[in-house]
Amino acid sequence: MTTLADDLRQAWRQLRRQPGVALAIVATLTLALGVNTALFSILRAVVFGAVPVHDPDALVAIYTVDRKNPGHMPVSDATAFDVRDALGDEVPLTFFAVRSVAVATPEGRTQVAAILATANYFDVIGVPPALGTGFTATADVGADVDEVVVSHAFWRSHLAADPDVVGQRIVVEGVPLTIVGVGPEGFAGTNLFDASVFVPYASHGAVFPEVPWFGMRRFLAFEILARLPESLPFEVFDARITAIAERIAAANPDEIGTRRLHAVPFAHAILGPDQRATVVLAAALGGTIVGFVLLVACANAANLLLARASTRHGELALRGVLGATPGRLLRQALFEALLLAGCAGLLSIAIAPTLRDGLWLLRPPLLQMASLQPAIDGRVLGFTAAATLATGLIFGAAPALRAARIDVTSPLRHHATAGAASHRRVRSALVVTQVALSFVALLAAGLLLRSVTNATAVDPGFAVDELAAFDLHATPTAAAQITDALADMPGIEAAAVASQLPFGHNEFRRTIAVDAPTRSDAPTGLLVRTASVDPGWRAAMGIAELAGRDFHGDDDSKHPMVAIVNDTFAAVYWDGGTPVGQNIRFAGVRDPVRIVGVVTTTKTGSVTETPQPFVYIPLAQWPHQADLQLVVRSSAPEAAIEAVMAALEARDDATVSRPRRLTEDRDAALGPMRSAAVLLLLFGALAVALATSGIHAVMTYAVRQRTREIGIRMALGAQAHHVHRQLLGEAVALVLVGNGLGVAGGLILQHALTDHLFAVPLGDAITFGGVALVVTVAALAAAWCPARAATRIDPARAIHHR
Amino acid sequence: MSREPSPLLTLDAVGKVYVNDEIETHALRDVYLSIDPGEFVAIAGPSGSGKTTLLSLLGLLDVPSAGTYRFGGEDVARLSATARARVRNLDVGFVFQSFNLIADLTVFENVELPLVYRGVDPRTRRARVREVLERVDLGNRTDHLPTQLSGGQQQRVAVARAIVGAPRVLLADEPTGNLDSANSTAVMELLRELHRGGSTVCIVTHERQLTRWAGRIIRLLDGRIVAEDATEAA
Ligand SMILES: Nc1ncnc2c1ncn2[C@@H]1O[C@H](COP(=O)(O)OP(=O)(O)O)[C@@H](O)[C@H]1O
Ligand SMILES: [Mg+2]
Repeated sequence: MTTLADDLRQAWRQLRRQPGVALAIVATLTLALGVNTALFSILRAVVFGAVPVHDPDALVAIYTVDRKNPGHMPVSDATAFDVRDALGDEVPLTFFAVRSVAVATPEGRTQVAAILATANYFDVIGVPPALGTGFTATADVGADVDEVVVSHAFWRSHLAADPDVVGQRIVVEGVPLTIVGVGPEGFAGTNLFDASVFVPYASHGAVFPEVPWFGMRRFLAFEILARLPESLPFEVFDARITAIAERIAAANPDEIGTRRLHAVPFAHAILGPDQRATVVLAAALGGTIVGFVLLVACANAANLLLARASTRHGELALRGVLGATPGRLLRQALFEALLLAGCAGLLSIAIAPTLRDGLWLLRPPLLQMASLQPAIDGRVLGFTAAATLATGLIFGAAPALRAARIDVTSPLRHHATAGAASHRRVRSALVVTQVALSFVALLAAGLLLRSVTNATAVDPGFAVDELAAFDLHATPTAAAQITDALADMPGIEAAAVASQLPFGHNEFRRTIAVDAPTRSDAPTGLLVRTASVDPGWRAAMGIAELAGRDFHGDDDSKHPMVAIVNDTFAAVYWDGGTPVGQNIRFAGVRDPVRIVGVVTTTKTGSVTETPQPFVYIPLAQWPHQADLQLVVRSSAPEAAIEAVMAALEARDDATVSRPRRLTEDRDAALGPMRSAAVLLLLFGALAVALATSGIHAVMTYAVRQRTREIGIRMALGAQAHHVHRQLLGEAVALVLVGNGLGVAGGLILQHALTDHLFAVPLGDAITFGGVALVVTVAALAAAWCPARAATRIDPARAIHHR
Repeated sequence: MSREPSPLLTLDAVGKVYVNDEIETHALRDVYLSIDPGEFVAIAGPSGSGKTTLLSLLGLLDVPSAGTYRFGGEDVARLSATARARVRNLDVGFVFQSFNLIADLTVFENVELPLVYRGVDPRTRRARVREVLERVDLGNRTDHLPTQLSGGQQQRVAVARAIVGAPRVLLADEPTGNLDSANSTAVMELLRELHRGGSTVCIVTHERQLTRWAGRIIRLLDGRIVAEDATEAA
């Protein structure tokens, strides 16, 4: 015990003796640990879903899967009811759908996301209201209920944070509803759509009389969340769901087909189970690179400690002479490192919230959900503690091993230079490591930036730069009047509406078969992206027509059904020739649909996608129940946005919201990649900055240590530029080796990222060359000044230098 | 006839070779030497003859390349670095030519170090350090830093540090080499006093004075013992 106290006391004394070194180490490590802590807090929230519900680990989501089509889809309410009945009371289960609604409050009308949920919604997810209650309804079928719960954010923004709001009424989709509660702060539902109002499922007849989802097994609109009791392991539950799905399918073979159910842990469901892989990959990449930053900081710290250790060589040796065992000297050195790491760890916790807030600002739209809040909680602090300990052990290792191997005979010798050469080797190795790590860190950013630039330059197949887009809440008749009126306005070349726009979230896929394909390998049925569009849509978008005609006013419910396909769809079924005049069939629709036109393939989900089959159908034949998308073509889209908003303000049969340029949607679809690129660029820059400062410190120290050698060289006639060149030459050698290792690491990294990069060839010369240039210039700039300083050494004094 | 005391230190056919960048230096060859408890031995020889090497072997700072070394009857030639550190801490005291005090520890803390490494509790440490500092006549300098002392005073601190743990042997490498004559004399008197008090002392020195006091002078040349002179004193 006394030895421990002595060791601690001595470690403290050492740090106080050279406060500059200690400060430099603590500052570097604080920054690196702070960034790691901040990122970990974010990654934990994103990957494991820090949404404010009770015991999220016990929640399970259930999705529809179909072996014919990849991905997870929602569930129909009919199936959800069956699942709930089959599970019984043991497993509380809620299901809900998200829908855009018009809400009128005393403060005005607005368009918001609503969650239509079963009566037990708040109980199952475990969210207590801030005011009033959750739903008071107890049944989901039967009586119409008049109640609504509003989110905390909505209560503040649209209800003036009125404490007496419970009992007041707001109008949802034209139906007055009584507010029974206000949700807790920070809660806006459990998925990407930040919900402002929560309406009980039982009131769907009153609030959504026209929405066709209800009681229809083909309409997959609902998400299921179930809360598992402790006695029920996930695997057992999943097996039970599989069995239930088989039974439901057997009872409804026509409507269910090959669709089955699949249970997914809630944490995986928050961002959507299909998006999660990307997020996890981005998280892994960000985590790796920020880990590199920490390693670079460790190398810095190790270098500074080693530099200091060589000035303390004599003292360490003396302690050895007096009986300090190698183990004790090792422990002593490790103690010092851990003490420094500990200080840095504590400080990093202090700066982590600020860093986290800064990094969180960079998140992509996919993560812009109000409920997702990265906290710095016990687990994050546990991570920081572990990272701090690891950091101390890593950067303390080299100095500690060196201390343990100290040459105890050196106090007997007059000039203790033993060990200096091997010191220099270790420090050179550390510099090489730093250069290599910062190379890879910067390269990761470079590769993603290059992908983003490549992607942005892709021609999506329509006039993306000239288009403005809006969400439009209006009847089909009103929508037609609006597009006609807008098209006549000066500065607006065309206006049209559609159910979906490219790069939107609400893609709608339908299963389509073809009557008479000519390709022998044509699939029997294909799940194809579709959109209902009005007659002017193709021209407004600027999509090229290849054959046939546009939709026109007569393509309505009184006339035969028609469709326009893109050339990718055509190529799946027909070997050349035009498919105009061919019949296709939509699952669940009795009549055939005749192809009347062929257009070029455009990008629909993202500019980085491979060409996708697409089928356009007329809005007048396929009425769309949710909000429409209004597009306006103009050579000055920003001005057009202003004009449209002003023109539509006066109409009370329509609400427009989310005005934007279509380029914004395109860029948003690139959002995760762009955010990752910016984040990595920050980390890469940090790594380079740390490495640079490390190289500067090592060079400065090396020059000081070699004063005598340099003095002798100069006394023998070396010129200033000889000395300068020699020192710089040594630095160049290290930097080149570091770059070489960096290139190797970079190739491995790029190989691992192949699927997530866009049009970047392996070992891309511009990216690799650019990174090498930045790293080399930064490193040599850091070495330049100390090397310069060496040329000003006075040989006469240096020779007597000890 | 009195029985011969069993020797404290015995070197048998000891050699030491330094290998540096493929150059071998035979610093010691075929050395036989034994030192009895209570002896005062001086080691002399020209520069480079192996004096310091011999002392570092005797003090278990280094291990011989050949031969055996018994310390208090125990074979110590092949001990691990940790075991040697223990023996040094308990049984060996060192005094160097260049004092080798730790610059930012006080006089008290410098002297205390061997006891710290021995795991002695702070109270006992304090008493013992006071005692030896009184003995070297520096009882009033405990809180000074080494740089605030003269060379002679620093070397007396070093002697105090060497004897604080009551080692079985005191080794000194040219302890007066960096001192003026007045300070040399004071340090030499101190060493002689310690010897008279029963300590075993082994000193590398060129000082006439010290060689005269020594019971035996070992002369080295090119790593070999060329002569052992018994002197009349002690
Ligand atoms: N660590 C070492 N590595 C290589 N040679 C050494 C080392 N220490 C001493 N020597 C060599 O061993 C010989 C004896 O040195 P030393 O014992 O220091 O002599 P003295 O103390 O008598 O001057 C010298 O030739 C010296 O150069
Ligand atoms: Mg010597």
